This record gives sequence, C-alpha cells and structure tokens, in this order.
Amino acid sequence: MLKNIILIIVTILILLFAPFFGERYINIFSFLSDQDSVYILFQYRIPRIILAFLAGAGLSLSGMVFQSIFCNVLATPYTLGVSTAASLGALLAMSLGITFNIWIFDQTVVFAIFFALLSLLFIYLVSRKYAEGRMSDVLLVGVALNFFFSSLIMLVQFRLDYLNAFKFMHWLFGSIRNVSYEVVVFELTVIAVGTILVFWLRKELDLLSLGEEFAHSRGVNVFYVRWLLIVIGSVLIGSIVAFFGPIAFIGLIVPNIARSIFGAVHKRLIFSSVLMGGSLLVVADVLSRALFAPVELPVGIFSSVLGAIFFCVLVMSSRH
Amino acid sequence: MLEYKRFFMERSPRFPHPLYGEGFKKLSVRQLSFSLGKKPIFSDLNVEIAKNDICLVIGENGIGKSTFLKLLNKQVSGYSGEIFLDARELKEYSNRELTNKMSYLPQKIVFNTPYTVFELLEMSRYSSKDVSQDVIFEALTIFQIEHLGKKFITQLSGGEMQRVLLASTYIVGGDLMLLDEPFSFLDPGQRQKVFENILFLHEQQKRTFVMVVNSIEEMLMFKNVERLNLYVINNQKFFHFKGFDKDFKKLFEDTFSVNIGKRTNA
Repeated sequence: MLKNIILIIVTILILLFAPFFGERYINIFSFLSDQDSVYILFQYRIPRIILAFLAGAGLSLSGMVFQSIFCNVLATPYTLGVSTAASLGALLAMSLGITFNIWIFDQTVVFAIFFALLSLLFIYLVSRKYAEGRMSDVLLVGVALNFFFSSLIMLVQFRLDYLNAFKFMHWLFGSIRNVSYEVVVFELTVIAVGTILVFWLRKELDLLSLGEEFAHSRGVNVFYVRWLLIVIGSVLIGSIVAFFGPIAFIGLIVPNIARSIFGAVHKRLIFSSVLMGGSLLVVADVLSRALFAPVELPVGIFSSVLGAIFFCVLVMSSRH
Repeated sequence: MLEYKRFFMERSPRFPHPLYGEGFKKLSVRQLSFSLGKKPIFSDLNVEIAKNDICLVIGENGIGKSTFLKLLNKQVSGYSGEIFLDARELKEYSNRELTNKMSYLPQKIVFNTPYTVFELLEMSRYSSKDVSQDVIFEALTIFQIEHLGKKFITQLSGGEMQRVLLASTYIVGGDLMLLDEPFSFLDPGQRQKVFENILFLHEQQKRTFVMVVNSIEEMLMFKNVERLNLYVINNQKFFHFKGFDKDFKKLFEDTFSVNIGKRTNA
C-alpha cells in the first residue's frame, strides 16, 4: 500500500515538474509573467511530456502483456521483432504516400498495427506448432524476425532520396516528436482503452503467465483471451511506433522492475507498469533534451543503452 | 450458443455460476478413437468412470497416458467417438463449466513467474464465484503447506511444489481429479505424504481420481484401496482390471517385460 502511494506521488511530481526542464530551464515561479515561456510550455513542453508518458505507459503495458502470454520475462515487443515489424509498416505507409483513415487510425497507424499483428501471429503460431512451448526457440524466431524486418527497412530506405532517408532515420531512432494536442488525444484514447481492456483480463493474464495448459484447466478460455491480448498488444505497439518510432527496451525493463517491487499479480502489476513506464520515459526524454542542449538526442538511443545493459543482467540472472 | 458469446457472458459479473451446480457423477467414453498427426493413439476405446473410483492409468512412455487425461480435460480436440460427462457431451461444456466437474494437475510443470503460493492458490479459484478465502485455508491445512504461504513458487522444492499444485487442483473444485504423474520426482517420504492426501480426499470427500502412474512402487501403494480400477494401455486399447489379480499380473509382465513376482499379493 505504501509502495503504491509512493509510486503515485513520484509520478505526479515528475509530471508536474518535467515541463520546466529541457533545452532551456523555465523558472517555475515566474513563468506566467513571461509570454515566451508560457507559449513554449503550453504549445510544446506539456503535450510532449504527456506524449512521452503515454508512450512509455503503452510500451511497458504491451511488454507486460507479451511477457505474460509467452510466459517469459525476455519476450517483449522489441525482442520478438514486433516493433521492428510495426516500423516497417509505418515506413511503407509514409514512403508510399497513400492516405486513408479507418475511424481514428490514419494510414501509418493502420499499416504499423497490421505489420505488428502479422509478425505476432507468426511468432505465436511458431511457438504453438513447432516450438511446443520451448521458449528459447520462440525468442530465436523473434531474433530472426528482427533481422528480417530490419533488412526490409534498410531496403526501403535504400530506395528513398537523401532527404527522406534522413528524415526516416531520425524517426527510426525513436523519439518523442510530432507533438500536437491532436496526437495527445489519439494516444490517450488508444492507451486508456488498452489499459482498461488489459485490466479487464487481469485474472486471465495471471493464469496465462503460468502456461496455457494450467490456465485451461483452471477454466480460462485460452483461445479467446490469447487472441484478444494479441490484438490489444498489436494495436498498442502499432499506434505508438507509428508516431514515435521503435523506442527500445522500455517494455522489457519496466515490467520486470515493477514485478520485483509490486509482485507478479496483474491487478497491481498493470498499474505499476503503466505509471513506472510513463514516468521513466518522461525522465529519459527530459534528459535526452537537457544533457547535450542545444542538441536533442533521440530518446530511443538513451533507452537502448539502458535496456541493452539491463537485458544482459536479466539473461545472466535468469540462469539461476 | 456461439462460443464467443458464451465467452463474453461468462466474463460478466452477473453470470450465474456455478451453472451446473451438481458435482461429478459419471463419465463414459464410448468408441473413442484419436490420433496425433498420423500416429494412432487410441482406437475404439470404452471406459466408464463412476463417482469415488480410483483409476490408475499404466502404460509405456509415450503411449498416450497423458493424452488420455488431456482428452478428458478437453485440452485436446479432434477425436471421434463420444465422451459423456454426466448428461452432456464433453464438447458442450465451456472450460469454466468444466471446472465444476473436474480439476486437472499437469505433469512436471515449471513456473517462471514469481507468484507466492498464496497468490497461486487464490488465482486457482478463477472459475469460482465464492469470494471467501475459506477453501484456500482448508487446502493449506489438508496438504500441510501452511508454512509455505508466503514463499515464491519459483523457489519451492519438488515435493513442496507437488503438494502446492495438488492444493491448487483441489481448490479448482471439481469432484473428478485428473492427476498426471502426481508422484514423479518425489522422494519416498514425500510420496507417502501425497498418497495420504489423495487417500484422505478419496475417503472423506468421496472424490474421484484418474491418475497416471509410472512405476510399480507407485502402483502398489494403492493395492488396498477400495474401488480401485487399473487401466493398462496396450496396442491403442485399454485393458481394465478391478485389482491386482492374476490376469493383470500376466498382462503387466507381458507389456513391460518385467517380473513383479509376489509383490502384488495383498
């Protein structure tokens, strides 16, 4: 209980103070008297902080879902190649120059979701039909998919002109850009609905993380729950990657830390992952802007460095 | 009813549960044939299991002992023939309804997720509408695992894990308990404890058991138990015996080419 309160307080503090830091520090006590500061704060910094929070929350939520349905702490959207697939989809949509809308999803998001879903289905079928639950095989298939989609991304980039190639390269690093309140509304909708649905399935997730057989025998309709979760995971990943690129490893780090602090029961894990993931990406984003100001580092580079180290530690410690 | 409709209905908090409140009475398998890929596992199988029976399923490795339990638990589909659970065909039950009738203990299971024992037992009540925790404490007492409540399931020894899993299976609630190799990887002392737990449930609560056993020692523990049924799988068929009689001994020795000698004499 105490831990929950501390987490909520820390999250609120981070969200309150983060907008004041960045390339330029805005004075907390006197910003209202300065017109420029007010403009930067409300037009740029606040939506950016909200987007960073939403992206972090969504990434760690989908990471948690993946870990549970594959019963392995190393199975996340990034390690299984699903984010790379989504990136390829988004890249194709952007470079093909087609435009359409399905409900609130525009062409980039639709392509990203579709590719994420496709790769996830492939991994899932492989894990059921051929790997028979041997998780190492599933992870290897994920690695192969990662290479496959990366090379397709390179192929697309190779065919582009220099200007576009550079633009997309920046996007592929993963960073919180495309800042506007429209995007905020969109991401907020998707991630709020995703979180509610995942919370609705929290008990099923508890049992699924112990294996399909076990969940089945305790009364879970494994077939429907799994498909629902796979679709939810793809939509989350697709709609985050389409705007911010493949921000690596947040989905791996956060659920694992949350699990070790708040326990593995999903009722608590969902909220702690969402809050921690959001806060972590907000902090990382502020640091990536402030550390080398006026140059802005893509936050994806930041999270990759952290994540790669964490990944190694996790692999070594899971041997015991 | 369409299956997806049933799925959403069952997830609704207003869904009446248990739907089929009465416990398990009878299970009959008629002319069941099943094959995995091209390999035939069972052909024309007929088995009757009544309340309070203890059934031991015996056979060589890979002959389909576990598959039989999975068929009864609806984990494997694509069989021909009939499996009738009380008044209805097995296929008509949803997983959730099935937990009213039966519970299932998987074979040598490895968990990666660090739940505590208490959390595991609590989530085993997934299908139950009863919100009280009485049944969990009851299970902790029966299986003598009160001291393990706060331990992580990833840190238990083999014997502790097996008793925790039995408790979890008990909590699911169905009178028919399908246990896949409940005695594997246990030392003799722990095996005896698990055996006594099973005997308690059989005698005091009149539960029904279908168990896969793997060794002669495990089998012989049950030789004085009432309502004992032995099923030897051989040649895609079940051979049914009511006890360790001469015919059983002969078939058993033929099947496994071992000599069990005088050990079966009760």
